[in-house]
Amino acid sequence: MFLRQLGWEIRKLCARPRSYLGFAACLLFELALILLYRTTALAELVGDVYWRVPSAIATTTLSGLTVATHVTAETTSVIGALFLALVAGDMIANESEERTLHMIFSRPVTRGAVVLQKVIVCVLYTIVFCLFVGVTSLGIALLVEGPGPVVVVSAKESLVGVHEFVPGLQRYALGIVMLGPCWVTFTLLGFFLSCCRMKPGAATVVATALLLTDHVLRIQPTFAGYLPYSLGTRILTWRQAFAYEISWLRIERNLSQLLVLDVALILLAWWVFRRRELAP
Amino acid sequence: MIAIDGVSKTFGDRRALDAISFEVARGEILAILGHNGAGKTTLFALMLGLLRLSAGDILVDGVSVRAQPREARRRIGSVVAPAFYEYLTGWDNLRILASYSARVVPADLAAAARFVGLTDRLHDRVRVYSHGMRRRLALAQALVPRPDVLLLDEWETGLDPEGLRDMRALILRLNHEHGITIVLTSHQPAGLDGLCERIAIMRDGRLLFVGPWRDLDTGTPTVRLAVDDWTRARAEVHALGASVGADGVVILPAGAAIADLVAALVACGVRVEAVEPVRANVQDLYFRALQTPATDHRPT
Repeated sequence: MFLRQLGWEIRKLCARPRSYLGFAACLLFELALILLYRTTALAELVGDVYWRVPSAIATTTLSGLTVATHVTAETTSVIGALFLALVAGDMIANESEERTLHMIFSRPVTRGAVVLQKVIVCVLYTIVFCLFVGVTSLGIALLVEGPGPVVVVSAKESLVGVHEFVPGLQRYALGIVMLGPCWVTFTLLGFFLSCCRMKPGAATVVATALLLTDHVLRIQPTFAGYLPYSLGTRILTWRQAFAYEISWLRIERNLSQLLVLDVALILLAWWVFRRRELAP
Repeated sequence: MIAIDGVSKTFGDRRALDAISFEVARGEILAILGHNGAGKTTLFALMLGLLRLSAGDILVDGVSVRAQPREARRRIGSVVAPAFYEYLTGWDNLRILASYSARVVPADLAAAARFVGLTDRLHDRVRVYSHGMRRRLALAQALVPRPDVLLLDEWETGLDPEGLRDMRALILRLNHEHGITIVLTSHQPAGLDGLCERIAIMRDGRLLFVGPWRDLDTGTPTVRLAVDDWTRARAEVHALGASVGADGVVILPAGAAIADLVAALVACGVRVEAVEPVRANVQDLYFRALQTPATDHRPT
């Protein structure tokens, strides 16, 4: 019965238009970004801000693969985060508001089972969503910019990597495989907030606000000491796939920390939700 | 079948239910009456485990809601503030909700839909359903797990006269043909005549009365009068210790004779055009019960 119920949770998610809005929005955002990367101004910005190299180098080495890594990161951080928070924030809060949750819990099912089913749906949605972003970014970027080496540089992540096209493609594939699990933590944050007594919109807003705050603290030199504790630093672990020498220890450490956070958020969500009364 | 034993529920400082105790026998229909906010829906929510008991316990077929809430819910089908996934069909909604009960085959879902008369529109999205169709769907989902007990909250809400007639017929069929114990709440006592013999009356979270509704009839004679001068008639009625209600209904004190009233009216020059003895119905007795203090009626 658990699997049948899980199947229906997936069916419910797939039947809602907002589940697909995120995919469509990402596609449009990627297209816009990729076209923007063709402009000299943005290419120079990449060189100045990210690579810290003369902008002429950036303008001549922004291949499809390089653009795809930037676009994937930016799309997931902006549009992706918003829609992951929207879907996760809706999971419990929206059904509670619409009273369909009361219909479910009038039946002989435990709250733990329903929470677990919804967690699984959140995780699956995140992984599928991130894979979609990774694959479509790559496809569009290759179409627009064509093949070429991949260059990934990030001072804050201590990351430098330059690879020819085929090895770069392999690194990219590894990266987007890790992309979903990295973002699962953020989705589960939205889910936990959804289990608290708050409106669906509030859960979405709080989750994205926390991510934005984390991002702001991470990029401010004044808060350099915050960097090791930042959630965003760990979410960007997927980009370590592009390092010259992949630091598997670092990846393992970061992903383990995210996994611990995931488990903590799930347990917290279950604990909060099992105590909640559902007044008809 | 259902034993409610000393049930209380508090929300912060507010006592929503105060030591409610009564029983519902297997196979009977019991109506719980009360004003908005009396605690009827709260009681149902406690039975379903949506709210936690502050005190007391509820036994459903001997199973404690406090100790074994899931087991208790296996025996219950409910229509309490029903809500559906508007973007899915009625059929999908039934299948989703059925997946949380025991193993249910499509034939059971189809049978439930047929029973409530919803077969034709079952594969339309719920967002296009009328209120009556939603009530039917709500009843169908409650019947799917083949419950022993059916809880119907405000069973008549939003139904037109035909819908009311059909819902009454369904309730009686479920009880007579399938032996399902039915507990329904209402704040419209007028619709209960012929539907149930026992009622419970709640007010401000307390139980005023439970038992056969005719037990509320204290035998005070009641007549409907038609007179030519109500001003004089009213004075005479009050002098006899009787009271005048709407539509010329006069409630005499216990032991008084209707003939004495008519004689007194004629003696003071009032022309009595019609006298019709009124048999108290559920609604009349309900309003009378509400006028008495809470301690005057003990649960039976």
